Amino acid sequence: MALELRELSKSYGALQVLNPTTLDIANGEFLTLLGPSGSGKTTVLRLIGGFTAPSGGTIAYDGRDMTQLPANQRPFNTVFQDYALFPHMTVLQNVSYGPLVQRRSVLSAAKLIEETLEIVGLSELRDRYPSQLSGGQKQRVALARAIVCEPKVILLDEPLAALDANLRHQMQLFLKQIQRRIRTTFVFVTHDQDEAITMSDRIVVMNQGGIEQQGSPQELYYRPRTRFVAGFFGDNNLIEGVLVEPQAVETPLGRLPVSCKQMSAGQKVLLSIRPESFKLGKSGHSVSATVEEAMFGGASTRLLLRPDKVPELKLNVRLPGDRRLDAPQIGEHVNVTYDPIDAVIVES
Amino acid sequence: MLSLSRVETAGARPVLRLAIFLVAAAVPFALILAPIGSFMVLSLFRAEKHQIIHDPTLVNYVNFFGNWTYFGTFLGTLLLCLEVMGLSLLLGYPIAWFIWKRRGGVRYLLLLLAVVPLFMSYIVKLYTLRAMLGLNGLINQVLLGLGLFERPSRIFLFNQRAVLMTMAVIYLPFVILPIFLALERIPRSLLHASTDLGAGAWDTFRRVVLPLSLPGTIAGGLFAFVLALGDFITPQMVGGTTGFTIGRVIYSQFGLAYDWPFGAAMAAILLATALTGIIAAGFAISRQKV
Repeated sequence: MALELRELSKSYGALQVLNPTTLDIANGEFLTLLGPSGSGKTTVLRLIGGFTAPSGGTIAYDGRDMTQLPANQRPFNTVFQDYALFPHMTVLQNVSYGPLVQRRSVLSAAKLIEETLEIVGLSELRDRYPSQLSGGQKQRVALARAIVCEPKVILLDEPLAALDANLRHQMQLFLKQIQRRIRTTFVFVTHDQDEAITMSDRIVVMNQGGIEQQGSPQELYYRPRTRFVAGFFGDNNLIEGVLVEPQAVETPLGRLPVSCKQMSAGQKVLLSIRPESFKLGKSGHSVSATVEEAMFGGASTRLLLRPDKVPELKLNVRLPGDRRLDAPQIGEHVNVTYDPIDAVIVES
Repeated sequence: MLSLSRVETAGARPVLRLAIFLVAAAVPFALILAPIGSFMVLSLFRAEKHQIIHDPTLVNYVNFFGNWTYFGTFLGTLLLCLEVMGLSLLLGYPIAWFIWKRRGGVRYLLLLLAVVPLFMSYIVKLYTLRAMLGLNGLINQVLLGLGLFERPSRIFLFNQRAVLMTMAVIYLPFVILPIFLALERIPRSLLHASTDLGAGAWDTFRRVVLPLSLPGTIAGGLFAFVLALGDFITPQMVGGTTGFTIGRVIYSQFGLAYDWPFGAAMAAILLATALTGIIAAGFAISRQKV
């Protein structure tokens, strides 16, 4: 493990913004800190970058303690949320800033700067000022400015938040390609779960100053372990119930089969079923309901169902897009079912 | 309906707009442009035995540039004003920077202290400074106390140097404020970015803070320069016989010498100089990429 955070914490007076947190980040990993605002994700980034002094714990890179090292001596570079480009410098000057203030030898730096501009596709724009660039181009400059310093870790603080949806998707792909090409560790902060899922090798979900759950995007998506995580990734259906036998939960909707860890009967549990896990049709455990809303969304159609047994418990269902146009209409009565393996117990 | 109502108001609007414009324009015209214009006209006449001869001539301007007493004093004043600008920037920038570096309440308290002199009477400030620079003043006391001087010195008062120091101190708030505002406008993230990229405090200051605060610094320097150019009271109060400036010369033309046209001509030249300074500063600021 290359970057090691041990019991790292931060508080402002009585306000604890980061509970003691331990996290290992491997070399070359694309790690995402995901969470709502105030969850402590940006604090972790600022602590790694050295912009905030921790209240407790240590930060080490390759076994070397960095906790007391000032920001300008850490082998990490940050891509800031607002890009923080120097407005009085051209693209070239911005990108050359790191090597310049680090007193790198001119010759090797010049070559590196050229290569970096090439990698991020800014060679043509080298003489422009930041005010003459689009959001995506500024983003590239900010990234180039960090890459050119050849850091061990690049810290990205919601770098795509200010971009519109199309550009954001482009930049996600672009960042991922860059990361693969330069093989540098990326620590990426975002509150956007789609972004986290598409880009990360590993996601650390944060909530209220602590780590809620961490794992691969697939794990977090299909096997959330807490109500918070299950609620954070899309519009999961969360159903409360009581475990009555090893593979079934008694819920207001009836007895629903689950794929279950070892748990004793009689326990209160929270059941999570993803909207796309439902399909139309009858089975031993199907739910009958009325369609309240139906929204065609291209690749899929979203339904909001009102179960007959418990009308106030709404079900989110996402059916694959179908060009035969026979998706259920509003007011129609349907039966939906699911594969028990897709029903996960997230909390007990 | 919508288009109809537009047509109806279209006729009334321009008239109303013109009326509002005229009213708004009348105030600056009556209070600023008209007096300046009358001065310009006056500078083209000449005075003879305390009588103004209304006969257009450039003789005042010829006299000014042809007579070294006047032109020399003018050039000396320009130099003095540049020195005032330099000195007040040298004093003002570090103060503004120091205030900017503080946090929270301390910062605004210090800023308030820096501008408090603006609320005081100009004359009171002049007398205070005169007392400080004088034979038994603070400066002499400190130097005697430190053992640097054996007896109180007269070198601090009633000369050009006294004018320079007094002006620089009095105009300090005008210099500190725009510099502070320029510093305040620099996003914190730029300073973080500079540090993040490996720069030390000095590099960050030299390459980021200083260039980005330059517009405010130019504005502050311009304030000091223009204020010094027009000031005739300070030279009179602390300048003595050697601290003669063009402002005092102009003042005397309207008083003792009673040659208003010549005074007006010199005032016009001073105005042109100040405008040149303002335009030059404006050009320098607009060239900044911020």
